Amino acid sequence: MIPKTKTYAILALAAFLFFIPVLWADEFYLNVIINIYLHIILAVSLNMVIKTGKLSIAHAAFMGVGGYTSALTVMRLGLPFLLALPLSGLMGAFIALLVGRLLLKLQGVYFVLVTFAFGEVVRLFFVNLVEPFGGPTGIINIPPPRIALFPGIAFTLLSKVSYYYLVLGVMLVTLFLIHRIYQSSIGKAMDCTRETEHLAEFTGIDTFQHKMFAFAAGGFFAGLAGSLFAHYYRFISPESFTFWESVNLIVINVVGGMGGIAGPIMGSIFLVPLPEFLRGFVEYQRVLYGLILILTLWFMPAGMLGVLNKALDRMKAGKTGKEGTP
Amino acid sequence: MGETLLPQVIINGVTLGTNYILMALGFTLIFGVLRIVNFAHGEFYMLGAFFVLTAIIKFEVNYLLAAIIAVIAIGLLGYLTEEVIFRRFRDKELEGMIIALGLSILLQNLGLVAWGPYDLSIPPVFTGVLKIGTLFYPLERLMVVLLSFLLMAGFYLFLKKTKLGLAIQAIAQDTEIARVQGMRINRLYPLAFAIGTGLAAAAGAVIGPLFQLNPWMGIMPQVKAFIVVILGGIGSIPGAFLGGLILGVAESFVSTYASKALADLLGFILVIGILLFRPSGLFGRSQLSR
Repeated sequence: MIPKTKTYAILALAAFLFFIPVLWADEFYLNVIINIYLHIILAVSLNMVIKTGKLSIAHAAFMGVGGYTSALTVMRLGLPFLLALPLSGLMGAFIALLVGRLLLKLQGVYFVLVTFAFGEVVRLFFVNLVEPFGGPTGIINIPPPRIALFPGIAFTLLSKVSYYYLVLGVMLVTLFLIHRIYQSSIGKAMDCTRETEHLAEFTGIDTFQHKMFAFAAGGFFAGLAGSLFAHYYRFISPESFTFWESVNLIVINVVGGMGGIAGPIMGSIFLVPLPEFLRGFVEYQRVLYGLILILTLWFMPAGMLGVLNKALDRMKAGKTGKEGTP
Repeated sequence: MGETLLPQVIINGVTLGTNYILMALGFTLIFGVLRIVNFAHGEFYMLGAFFVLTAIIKFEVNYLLAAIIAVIAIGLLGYLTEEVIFRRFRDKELEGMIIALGLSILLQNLGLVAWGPYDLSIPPVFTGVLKIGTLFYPLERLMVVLLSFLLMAGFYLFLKKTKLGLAIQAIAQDTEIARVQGMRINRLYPLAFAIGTGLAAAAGAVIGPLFQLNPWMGIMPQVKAFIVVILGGIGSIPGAFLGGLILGVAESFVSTYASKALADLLGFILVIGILLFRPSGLFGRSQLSR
């Protein structure tokens, strides 16, 4: 009974998302929503890394790897966007596998500090290598995605509405895949790796391989998001993928709640539009951001998801018996 | 030419190194005692420099007095920060780190609100150039190095000779044993945090006159402090000294004989190298012992 209602709810939600551009064709709102979707892809893929107990501050670097890969693949190699998109993801995963072998051996604080250092290295690479990355000014005039269905029939995603559907599609696929991973035995092994690493080792779980998997898959989806980002804004520079963007993704996870996919989704929906509606007082936006982060950890350490779960539990308890009421 | 260049390169490297050490000391102290990775350390440095500027311009006090005011004010701010916020996240390394990130965002942008986004500078304190043979050395930088050495010596004596310093060291080594010995953690933790942030402010006050002041000025010194501390071993005071000197001199050599871009990358290359061969840094304790 319950799984069925859940399925209907999800289908209804998907249909609603599909009709958003019809209901609000407003460019401003579509731009905000596209931005939310991009952040959902990024924040949920970071959540997978956090699920194995590793707080990475290098996630924006993988997004950057994807963005540059995609722009250069299309502009220099002349390959179609539909090839550049998965290639960006693969490049993100490849770099993650390459550095993960070293980074993921580090414990606790060292891992955090070194991912921070790695993020800076990547940024400095983009800044210092004018060929092919364009140096500090980055790459401009990135073409919008051109999608060829059959030879001779191709269309260019120039409008915000068409781009909305592209990002929506990639986001839904990402969420579906990560949800399946979380439901599978791999997801359970990730939880064990985070909670009791030694015990997990004793029960035969190769914790290092699971961390590597999460890190590489995280790099893959971040790379995809980078590609979507590059062809949407049609301009990238090293400043698009700094330490602060990585921190931003952590804030989204903390405020939304790190304990599941729904957390970073809620975090993105709440936090990404915030600057857009605070345009009147630009200076105070980030002050507020910092305050929200501190207050969330202080008063609701499990984030919005934690509050929601508690409320749901109380409702259930209220229905089945009197235990829930004090 | 090669003969005059070499001493100059070394002197520049040591100058750079003292700046790095000053930043790293407070950072490593805070980690050693409270196990907090203080991502807001660069912001306390920034505030230190701006407090000096404001004290000199608004209240027309001299540089030295302004520096003392800044250090005490930021120290107090650090004390309150530990009392009010970090106290709730003791023994939670990850949460503590995220709180520090939030604090960093908060302070940086409060700085932006208070002082604006444009570069400001502290009026020059010392002018002139020292000339020994073919060596040139701006007097301003010499004073920075001298003041830094004074601060470091003072900090060292404080740790070795005072009761409070010894207590702080004891906590850094083993919190549980220190507690059993009757040390009052609740008083010592905020004090250690205050001393750490005070050192960051002192670094800002001393180094500030050499650079332009803006709300983001703390980011780069903080990155350098991270590198120094990873090199030397996080939580280790001798490690901070050695790491700072190594990084400063190495950067000076590379930027003179190779390129500035390579010098920027050098720190990260050193970090990755050291983690490959000695994951807990030059002076760090093994991860297993904790």
